[in-house]
This record gives sequence, C-alpha cells and structure tokens, in this order.
Amino acid sequence: MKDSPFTICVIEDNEWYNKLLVHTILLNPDYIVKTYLDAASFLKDLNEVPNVVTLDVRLPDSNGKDLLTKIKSFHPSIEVIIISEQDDVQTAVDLLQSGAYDYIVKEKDIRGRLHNTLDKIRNKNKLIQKINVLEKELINKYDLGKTLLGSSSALKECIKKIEKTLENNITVVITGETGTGKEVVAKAIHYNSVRQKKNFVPVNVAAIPSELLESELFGHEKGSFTGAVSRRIGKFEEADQGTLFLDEIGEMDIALQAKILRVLQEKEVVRIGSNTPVKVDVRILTATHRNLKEEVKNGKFREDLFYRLMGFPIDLPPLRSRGQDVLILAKHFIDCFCKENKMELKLLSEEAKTKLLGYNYPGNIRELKSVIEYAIVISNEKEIKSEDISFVSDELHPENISGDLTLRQYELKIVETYLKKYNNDVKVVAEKLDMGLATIYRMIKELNKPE
Amino acid sequence: MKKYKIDALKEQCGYDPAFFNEMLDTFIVSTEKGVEGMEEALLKHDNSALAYYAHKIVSPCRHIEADNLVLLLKELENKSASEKMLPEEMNELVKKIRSESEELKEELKKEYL
Repeated sequence: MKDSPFTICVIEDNEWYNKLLVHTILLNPDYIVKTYLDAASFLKDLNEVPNVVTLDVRLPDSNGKDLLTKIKSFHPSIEVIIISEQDDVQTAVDLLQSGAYDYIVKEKDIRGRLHNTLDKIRNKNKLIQKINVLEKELINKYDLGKTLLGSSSALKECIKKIEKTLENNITVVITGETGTGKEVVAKAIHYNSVRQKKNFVPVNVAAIPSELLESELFGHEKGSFTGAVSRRIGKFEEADQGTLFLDEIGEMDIALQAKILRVLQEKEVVRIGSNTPVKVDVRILTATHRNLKEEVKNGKFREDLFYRLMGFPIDLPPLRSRGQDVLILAKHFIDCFCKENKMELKLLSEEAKTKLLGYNYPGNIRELKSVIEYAIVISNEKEIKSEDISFVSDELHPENISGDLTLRQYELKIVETYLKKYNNDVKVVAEKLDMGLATIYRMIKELNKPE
Repeated sequence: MKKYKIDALKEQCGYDPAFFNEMLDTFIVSTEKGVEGMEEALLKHDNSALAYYAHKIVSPCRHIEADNLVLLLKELENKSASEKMLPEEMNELVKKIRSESEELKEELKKEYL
C-alpha cells in the first residue's frame, strides 16, 4: 500500500518560532508543511483536512482550546499537537482532555520530541488506513451475492429472508443440517447490516465446556475464581455495538440459559466476581441443528428463552434440495482451491457433474468442498473425471439414481446402504424399508455371493 | 560578557549558514515588532496586549539564551497579566526591554550580519 502524503499545518504567531518549527518538521522529507500566523487564515484551509496541526496556545485571534475544539469537531481524525511556551500542567491536562494528541513545551530543542510524536501519529494513521482497507475487503467478502452462491429457488427464498434482517436488529435463529453454512449466513447478516463496522463475535457453545462458558460469555474479575489471574472481558462486551453469534445454542446448559435470558432482557452483563452491571448493545444471532421446539417440549431448552430468541427464523436448505447449485458451488470451490494453491484451473467432466448431482450430501456444502478438493488433488488431468470424485458415504440419492442397473441391483444397493447406515442392524433396516426380515437376510446372502 | 549563546541555534539550523542568517534576521525583526507592540500597548494601557507581546517573543530569546531579556519579558508577562504593576513601573520595565533588546540586536548584527 502506497503511503499517502502526510500534511502538517503549523499555526504559530511568532515568525521566528514558526520558521524553526517548519525547518524542524521538514527534516523528514516525507512531510508536507503549511504554515499560518493566526487562527483565521488556518480556518480558511481547514477543509483541506491536514493529518496534523501544531498549535500555539496563545494566538492573536484565538486561544488554543477554542481552536482545538473547532478542529476536532470539524474532523476528529486531525491530530493536534499543542506547542506552548507555558509549562503549565493544568493547561496541558485541559487540552489533552479536550482531544489534543500531545503537549510540547517550547524548549531549546524540541526536535526529538516533535519527530517522535509525528512518527507515532503517522504510524497510527497507517494502521487505521490498513484497518479500513481490511474492513472494506471483509465487507466485500461477505457481500450476499458472493457468499451465498446458487440459483435454486430454495436458496433464493433463503436470501430473501436474510435481506429482511439487514436493516434492523432482529434476533435471528439459523437452523439447518450440519454443513449448510449457518456461520457463513451469520457473518453475511452481520457484514451486510448496519453493525458491519463493529465486531462479529462467534461463540461455539458446543465447543466450550459448560463450566467455562459463563466466564467466556460474561467475563470475570481478577480473583473471582481459581485461575482468574486477571480481569477478562466476556464475549457480550466484546460484541458491544456489534453482533454475537451463538452457534449450537441448543447445547447450552439450562442454568446458563437463564442468565442469557437476563442479559437479553436487561441489556446488561455482570462479570463473574463483580456486582456492577455493564450496559451492552448486542445483536444476537443463533444457530442450531436441533429442533428447539422439540427441545423445549423435552425440557432441555427454556421456553422463555426460546420465544426471546425466535425473532426471525431462517432455515437453510440441505444441499440435496438445491439441484444445480451443487455444480455452481463445485465450480466455486475449484476456483478457490486452484487459486489458493497456485494451480492451473481445472474443469469438471460431464460424467463428474452427473456423479456430483447424483449424491445426497449428508455433510452438505462442507462435504462437497472436501470432495472437490480431494478430486482436484487426485486428478492428473486438466479435467476432473468421474473416478476422481469420491464420496465418504455411499448413500444413494434416490431422486438421482444413475447407471445401468437392474431393479434387483438397485434394491440390493439400497439394502446395502441401509445396512451400513444402521450398523448392520437387520431388524432396524427391515423396519425402515418396510420389508420382511427374511427378505433382508436373503438379500444379504446375495450381496455376499462372489460375482 | 555576551548577552546570548548561539550554539544551540547553529545546531538546530543544521550548521547551514544561510538558514542561520535567515533565522537571525527573523529574530531581530520579530523581536523589534514585539517590542513595538509592547510600546503601543503601554500607551493604550492595554495589559493583555502587553502580556501577549511579551509571551510572543520570549521563546526565541530563550533559544539563544538571551537570559536578561527573558527575565524582563517573563516579569512583564506575569505582572501585566495579574495587573499587579503600577503604570510607571510598567513603563520602566518596557524601557528596560527596549534597551536590552537594542543591545542584543547590535551584538548580533556586529558578530553575524
């Protein structure tokens, strides 16, 4: 990233000191200096928004504090260094509290101090610039059109729902099978919402032991329990003005659910070991693969919390119901993997496409991604062949059975698939397929017969 | 004994004789303007203007270690700001500043310009 020009305005009514400051600052050739003898002439140029202003406390037409206030209210990012004859602590404190970056007394040689301060401001500005670029990239990365790929009606319906959640702070519950992209959707909601510039804080409830989760979410004070060696801010505070994503909310301990409910109602958290509530403004997004309504019925999820969270439900469709989206996603994963690994871009053969479409993806998009990455690596040619596609599960997709098999062979394959799925429990398979036990045994015998 | 020490200024000017001379010229001009401002303020009995001009020129004087002049300027600045000085005392002090600044100016001109 190229450095942008760094402009410093010197406001000093003493011509001699003004010249000395300009000379001192220009010892760094990267700096551009503009100079003024009074406040009025500087204010005419204020809309040029310099990076830094060095300001004398006493000017013929203004005092330092008034001018500082005007500068800061015009553009808070302009840093002001007060350079004063007065070695007065109270004045310095007042001006620093009013937003001055530093207070330098006019001593014989202020060169070191002044350059040190300017360098610090410049480095800070560079960091801010980098953060801004990264923020833009992040927001761009989670643009809805780029995040949620596909053209199926199931996905379009889902995007329509997501769009409804962007202009408000409604609590969203994202449900869907594993691998359907619940966290991706949560990020997309956050980075397309009005809170996009604030923190997105994800917490996987299932991944944190329940005894640690409370401290993780609410934070703790030093010494509040064994091991609390310092104060720690919890995820709710970290997400203040942003979004907190509670993944696998259905796994949360019922006792902790009551505390979450309190935070949602009161909009404040109390760190463990503290009595002082801290106000928080957090948007809550949750996700679960469980049916929370069922969990409520079974007494595993608090009904009051369920209704509190159930602001706007978004159910993500399984990949098997998204038709041709499989191929759109497959192409996207090929592009990403080849780019990341600096490989020549590969294409999918027609047979490979047919094979991909004929599978039911119990692991959904996450599984498709793994299948594609494996196929790219295993494939020796520019085109990914059908034999390069390998599924972990051999489950048949009943709507897309392909290949030249007889009906009997399909029946055998279905039984074989179910036996694998239910750990060779013949009784369960018979029940699931509504077939007699004897029939299943006969088919097993047939399956075991050498070809 | 000299009324100033110039080494720090030479160093700050990067031992560049042209810039050093420019700074001395500016010092003489801006100090003169400041003293004139004080004399005018004295005629108008404007204490805050007196304090302002004394404050304005004291930093350059401190830079070249013109200690006598710095002491007089600080006295004028403090007393005129607190209004604890009789008009005749103030008149006397401004005269002293004029005289000290003239002597300093002559010494500088003689040696460097």
